[in-house]
Amino acid sequence: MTLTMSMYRAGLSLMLCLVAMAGLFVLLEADMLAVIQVMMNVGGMLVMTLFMVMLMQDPGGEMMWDMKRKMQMPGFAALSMFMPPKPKEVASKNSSPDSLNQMVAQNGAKMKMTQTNKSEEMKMAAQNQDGMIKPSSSDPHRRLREIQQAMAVMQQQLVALEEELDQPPTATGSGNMDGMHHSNQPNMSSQGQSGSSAQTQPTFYTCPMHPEVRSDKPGRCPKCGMDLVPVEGSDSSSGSGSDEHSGHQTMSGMRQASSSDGSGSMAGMPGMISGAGGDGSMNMDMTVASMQKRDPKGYYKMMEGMAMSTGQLKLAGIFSVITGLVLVFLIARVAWLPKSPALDLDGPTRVGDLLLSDYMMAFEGAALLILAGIVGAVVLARRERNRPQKKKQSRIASTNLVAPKHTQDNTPALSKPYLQNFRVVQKAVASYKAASPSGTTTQEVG
Amino acid sequence: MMSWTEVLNALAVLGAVLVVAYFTAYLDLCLATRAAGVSLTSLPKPLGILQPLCITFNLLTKRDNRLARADHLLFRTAPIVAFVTILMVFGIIPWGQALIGRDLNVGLFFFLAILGPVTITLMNAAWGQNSKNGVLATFRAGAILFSYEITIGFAIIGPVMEAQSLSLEKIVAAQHSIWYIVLQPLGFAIYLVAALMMSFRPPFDIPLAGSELAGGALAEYSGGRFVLYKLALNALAFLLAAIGVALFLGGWQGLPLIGPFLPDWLWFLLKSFGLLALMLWCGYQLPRLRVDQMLALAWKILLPLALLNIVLVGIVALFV
Repeated sequence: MTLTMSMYRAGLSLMLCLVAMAGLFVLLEADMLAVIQVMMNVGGMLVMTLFMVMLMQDPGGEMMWDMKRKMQMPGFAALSMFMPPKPKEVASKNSSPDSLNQMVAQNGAKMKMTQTNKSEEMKMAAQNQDGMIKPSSSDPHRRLREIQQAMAVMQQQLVALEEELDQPPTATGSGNMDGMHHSNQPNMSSQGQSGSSAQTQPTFYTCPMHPEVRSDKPGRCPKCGMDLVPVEGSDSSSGSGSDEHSGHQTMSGMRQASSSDGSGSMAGMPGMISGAGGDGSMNMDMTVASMQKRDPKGYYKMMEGMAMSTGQLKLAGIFSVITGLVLVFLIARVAWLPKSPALDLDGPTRVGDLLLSDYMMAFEGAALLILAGIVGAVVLARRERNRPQKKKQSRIASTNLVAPKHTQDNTPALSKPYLQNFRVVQKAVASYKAASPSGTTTQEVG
Repeated sequence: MMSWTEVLNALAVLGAVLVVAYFTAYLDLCLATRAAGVSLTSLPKPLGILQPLCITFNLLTKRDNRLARADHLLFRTAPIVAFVTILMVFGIIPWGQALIGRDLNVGLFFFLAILGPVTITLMNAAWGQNSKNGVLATFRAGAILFSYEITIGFAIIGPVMEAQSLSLEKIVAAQHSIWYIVLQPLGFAIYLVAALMMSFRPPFDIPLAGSELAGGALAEYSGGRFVLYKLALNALAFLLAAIGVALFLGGWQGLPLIGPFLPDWLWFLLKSFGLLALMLWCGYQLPRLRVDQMLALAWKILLPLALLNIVLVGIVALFV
């Protein structure tokens, strides 16, 4: 988990490591051992990798790719992973007084950002929040994109304004009919009215799972015990509110939750409608992106826990290279064995003799250790299965374990392997006997 | 430590791999043409001898595909690792009497052990491309590895028992009076089938199945990487034929009765390409086997036969 989460890669790395040890054997002029090392470990590690992949359900390349994308890793950087740059403060404090437009513009920009995952576009859209198109670059492609974004933002403003005019603002109080889910869903329209005052709000803290929990200082959520995350009260209260909303939806699996909202909350955020109605991955993206913005460090931690390769990989690589060099130099410098021509060149015979005489115990011990490791891995990776009670009973009843022919008093004689499960068997037999009319059925089963 | 002769030696091995892989591709083309019922004269001018070169250059002009959701590290390194691995094994082929890259005293075992990673690279290629076909190809390659490795391992025990050495030089030298194919026809047949499995050629092209997996492990490659992988697989086919010649067909030695009226390396090349042609011809003439049929063949038929072969070889070695 420290270096990679891909089972396939982990198994392959172990294989590579053990095969690389064959190189040390070659340096020691023990060709036979080197070849044995390669052959055994390629086969053995391959089996192990296949079992790991099958038992653990390796997520494989797709998940890695997704993580890489979300961590904004450029190019062929599957090997390395760096801390994403902290996003800059997006909205300027001295923005235009038209708070509704500003809020909607930010909202639209946020939607865009979460879809394309680029804070740069958000910045550009925020520059255009007063509706003016100000090309900031001479690159025509870039300008075209800016203009398109600005047009999209303006269109959203238009939709929001129209719906604002349709809906009376009194109908858009915070929905309190469902306290579990959206009790404190921040309402766009009401916040639009108080948007300018919200700019001066101090930072507060909220729980990522329970947006209704708000606190002035950092701490733990009284409901679930998670760490509270800071929310920029001034410029992103509406944004973080909607993001929490979407995250909440994703977490609770309610994709269509916006349909149960008050209609006013939908009116304020046109982007949210499509976002909430869309597929779950988009909601997830939005959550991830908002977390990235709010808490880059925590975001990185979270991603690191899920990603295929982590930042420690570089360190591990350096460490392993140094270790390998030290080993090679040790072998090259130290005179390990006197190479006398009197020794026979029949390496395999000598190796076999030594393994089965002097190093017998070590050899067997290593074998036992590996065996224990294999058993342990299988036990750890085993999936718990809940068998239905009915099936269990029928299984036991249909086996031979309660079928002694010589028993007179209907007491089942238990065979040795089942003695541990005596109670279970007894219970099953009792219920079986209760179900059957006479005691002869046990003999029939046998 | 490393002298210039060793560097030249390594370069010669590399050149041999390239030349041999080229002619393997040409032989494959000829056999495919014949199998399609078309005369060789219909190929582009000098009997299609330049055709693999043209195909190679055509492929090299193609773009190197970048997969969207792939494990790039595994996917991109797989052809390189495969080629280098096969290059290593080419060093132990005895081309002539003193014409060998490096005569290891564990040569045959080296051949067997080092070819395992070739299958691993196929698995990497298949797993790395992260598609459903790729995952299937991964597991198929894993299954095929054990099937052919154990079978071919038991098949080559026969010549080792006769010659009492793992060195290919010594095995070839031990056949100067009688080729081992005469003493061990069963072993040769088992080796041939197992080598076909090992070369991922049509009757057993399970992980590369074009009809079932749309190319399997090689499905997503293009351009230079595809060329490199094809090169490696062609070299692998030749390698298996060459080792078969060294083990069973007397290596670089001429025909026992007629005597060596050709240079030894020419004998070796002739025999190797002859055996290779037989292997490739099987690929075009025999029906493909399903994966379960192939595994059943390897484990239920070939492996017991190989064990029987060992007993027979033991009897022959004792009493003949």
